[in-house]
Amino acid sequence: MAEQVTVDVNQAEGVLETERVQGLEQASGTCNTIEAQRVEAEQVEAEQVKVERVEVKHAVDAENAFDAEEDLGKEGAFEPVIVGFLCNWCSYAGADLAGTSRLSYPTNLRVIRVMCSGRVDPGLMLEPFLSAADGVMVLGCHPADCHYMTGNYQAEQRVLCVKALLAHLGIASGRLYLDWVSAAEGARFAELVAEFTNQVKKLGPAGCGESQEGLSREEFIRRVRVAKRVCEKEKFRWLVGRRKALLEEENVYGEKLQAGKFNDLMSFVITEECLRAAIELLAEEGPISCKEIAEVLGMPAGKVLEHTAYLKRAGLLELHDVRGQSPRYVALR
Amino acid sequence: MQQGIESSARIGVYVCHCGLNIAGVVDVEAVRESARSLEGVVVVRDNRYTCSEVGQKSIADDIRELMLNRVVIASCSPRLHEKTFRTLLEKSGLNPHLLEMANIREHCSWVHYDDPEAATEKAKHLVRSAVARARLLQPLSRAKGRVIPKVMVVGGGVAGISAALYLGGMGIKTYLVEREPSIGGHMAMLDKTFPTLDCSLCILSPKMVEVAECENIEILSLSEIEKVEGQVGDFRIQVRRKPRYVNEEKCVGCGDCAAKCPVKVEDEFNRNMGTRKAIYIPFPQAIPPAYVIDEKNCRYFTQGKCKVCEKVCERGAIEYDQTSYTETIEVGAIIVATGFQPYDARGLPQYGYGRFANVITSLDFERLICADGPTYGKLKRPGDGKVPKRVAFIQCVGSRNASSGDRGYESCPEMGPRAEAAEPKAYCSRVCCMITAKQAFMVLEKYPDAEVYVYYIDMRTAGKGFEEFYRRGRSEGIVFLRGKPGEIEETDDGCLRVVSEDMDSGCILDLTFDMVVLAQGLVPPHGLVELAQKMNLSRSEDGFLMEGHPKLRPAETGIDGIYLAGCVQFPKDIPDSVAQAGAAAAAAAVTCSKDTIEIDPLGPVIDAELCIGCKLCEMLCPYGAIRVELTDKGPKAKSIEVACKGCGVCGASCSTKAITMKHYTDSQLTAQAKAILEVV
Repeated sequence: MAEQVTVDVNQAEGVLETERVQGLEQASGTCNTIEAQRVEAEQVEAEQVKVERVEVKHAVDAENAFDAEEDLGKEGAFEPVIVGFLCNWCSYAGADLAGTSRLSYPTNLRVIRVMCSGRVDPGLMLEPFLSAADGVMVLGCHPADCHYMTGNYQAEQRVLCVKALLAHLGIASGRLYLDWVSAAEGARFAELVAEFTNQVKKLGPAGCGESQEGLSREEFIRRVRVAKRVCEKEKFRWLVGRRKALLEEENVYGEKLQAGKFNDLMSFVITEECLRAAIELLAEEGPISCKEIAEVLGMPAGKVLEHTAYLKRAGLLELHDVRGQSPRYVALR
Repeated sequence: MQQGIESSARIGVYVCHCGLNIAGVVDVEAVRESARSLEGVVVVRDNRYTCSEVGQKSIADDIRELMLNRVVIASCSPRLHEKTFRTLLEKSGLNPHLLEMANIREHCSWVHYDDPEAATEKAKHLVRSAVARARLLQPLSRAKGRVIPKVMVVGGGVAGISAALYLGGMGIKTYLVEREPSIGGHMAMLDKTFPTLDCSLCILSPKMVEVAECENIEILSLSEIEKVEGQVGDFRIQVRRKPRYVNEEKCVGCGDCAAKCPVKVEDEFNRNMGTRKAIYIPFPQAIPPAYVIDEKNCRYFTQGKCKVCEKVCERGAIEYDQTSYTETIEVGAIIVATGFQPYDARGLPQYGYGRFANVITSLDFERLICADGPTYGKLKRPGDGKVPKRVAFIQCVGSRNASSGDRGYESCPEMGPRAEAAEPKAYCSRVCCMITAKQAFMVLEKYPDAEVYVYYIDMRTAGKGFEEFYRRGRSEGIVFLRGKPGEIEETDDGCLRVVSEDMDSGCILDLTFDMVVLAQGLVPPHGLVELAQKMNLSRSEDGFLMEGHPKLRPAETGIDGIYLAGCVQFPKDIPDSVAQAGAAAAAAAVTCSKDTIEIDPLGPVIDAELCIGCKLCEMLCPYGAIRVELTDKGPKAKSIEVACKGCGVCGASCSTKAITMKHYTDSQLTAQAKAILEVV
């Protein structure tokens, strides 16, 4: 089994590399569309299927390799921590049913109850990553079955957008998971938990050099903070909230927004807001100049200056002092 | 009210053993000790059963003596006992919303029985998370909603009729909604009932008349639910009223119209074995006792001229100009009693239903043997009208065979995709064994020299007098064979060859019968999925509606104020349906007996400083419960409390994060998310 895991990580790592390249450092350069990221996500999935097949083959090959198998089952094995946001009416009830039916599933999941999956704010989805979570699940009622009619559709929009945001920041979007579980689907709930736990196991510990993202803990947290900050931004929130309507409903002129166009727009907003959020977060730590910011973020100073000016106008930064010839800014938050 | 409730939290943590349900897996003492050092925790106790009198008393005492202002209970699912403990807090002088529960049974001990160590760790985390949230809980005042002391019963079968009669008898105004032209449901189609062999309609029709005569009951026939809004105590239901084209008040049911009507069509009440006219009454005892025009077949509606019925109706009851319209009805409670539909036996083509004329289903058999049926009670086989001398019954058609059912169907591509009602089900439909026992008996009663065989898997005769009835059938010569036939073949003379293995002797039996009756199972009625969505009801895996609790709330649903009666919850026989109807009626009456109902105050709080009036919340709210209004500070969102259900979509979407959801605030959920992962 240990052997299989290496195969797994190596293969998937290659794919994830593309995601990593889109990391914050390169954020200003390329403006990859979400569409492209989606295609990549599909590739990752396809790759994972392939990996699973390889696993099966290996399992047959390594039937006698007991030592290796034992290793994975014991201490050394990575046990991810997963937080689940479950809606009160369907998925939480489904989880309860798994309990009353005594269906065993991995102990990795910790559940937080909300009234509706639509209550889960984009920022809240990221909150557990700041603690120690390696994965986050949002479970709601099946489409058309939502206790509050359309809350689950909103949850879907948010998860899609937050996944795009994570991918942009070089964090595996597979760490965030959305699915539907009805109150009658105790068995399905148990299966989904097991499945997702496995998926996260393959991704590796969040913020660990050996994970698929290959980010240090510090860098992982920094990026999640950036993502979380973006989730508080008006532009991002507005696009998330309007996504469904923009894509599915016609405007007064009988026009619908094309998915590609929306994704371009979203990608643009994500890129801009990620950069601003990163600047804000740096300025919150203490006075800092554009030049220093540019160095830390690996960005052209001009670009940083542009956004710093914007943030200053928006009343989020203020001039602190001038050191040498460089003005230094601090956050007003 | 306690003093200083907002200042500093004084939390009591109670960890429940639940007998061995929790303590058998989770180390309760360790969980208790881990909670002791948490910020704000004043007292930690473990109880054998926290929900017991003793357990509850210890909490009440602590609230009083230790001045607790928050309570955390680590036990079962809040879906089970949140109400119990909220009531306890209220009685002890604490706001009921200052309670938080950690689900360490359904989400922990019961699912991690194979790993006690990890389960204990998880339980500790869940408790920490609950304490973190409890610290930030705020007292909330509950708004009072009005109660409309009226009930709507959806479905006019025996369950709906019984529920309506109970409610009408209590003086509660009840609307009985039925989509067919007459109430009565499937029971009206049956000839006899088991095990007493009462004539079905003889016992049902007095009840139907009672419904018609009860001044508190209003029958809405030819009506369907279109939309349901509101909450317990105050539902607004839009009912689609379809036209009858006959004035119910004026029609006396003389039948002159039908006698002269020139159009003959297949009679669905007689399972398409007889004919009726385009203006018809489904059966003589129908309630309302009025004729109805079938517009799909009526010559006037299809060809534009005829109007014979109008000419012959002396009372001028024919009204061709009636149209479909929507009526809004306000009630305080709803009982769903929409019953079942029989399994479509064409889904198992190996038995030849729909292809072989003399293979019928149990419901067909009821009509064939009924004095009012197409043959006036003479049992004749449908193919050629011959008297069947050898009759076989096959059990569990569509029931108990989810996995084996597909073989036959795939071999018959000409049948097209299998309809929902033709999907074989995994569950036992409960009533078919006794229906067959009764029907086998009826054959012998009509033709004492007939040979009757029953192919079965198990005979399930649990019920008062059922086993005795089955034994009597055996002793009177009905042959019961264990083993399900694989296939039926039709012979040249329309007889049916049935080959099976007799499981008791191991012999292969090759028998030929004049007629085969398939004991079709009961499946969810068509339209139930849509109805469940309109009412936000959950369905069980079997497709029927899910009850509030499988043991203790069998007539309730997950939605307050909506109750269940009869087969819509699961297949059941007539006495069970009537009993459940009584339970549902009692539960609905309890709701209607209140003057007001407390509504959970989970709505949004809007920070007018942050709100920019962008209208995103207004656009996303499924209930129109938040609106942007112009104030002197510009456009600002405003919550409409009565309409709000507290889902939180507005709060999670607000572009400037100006909305906080009560009881599920960002800070509470964030604190929970942090604590749930904290390494202890």
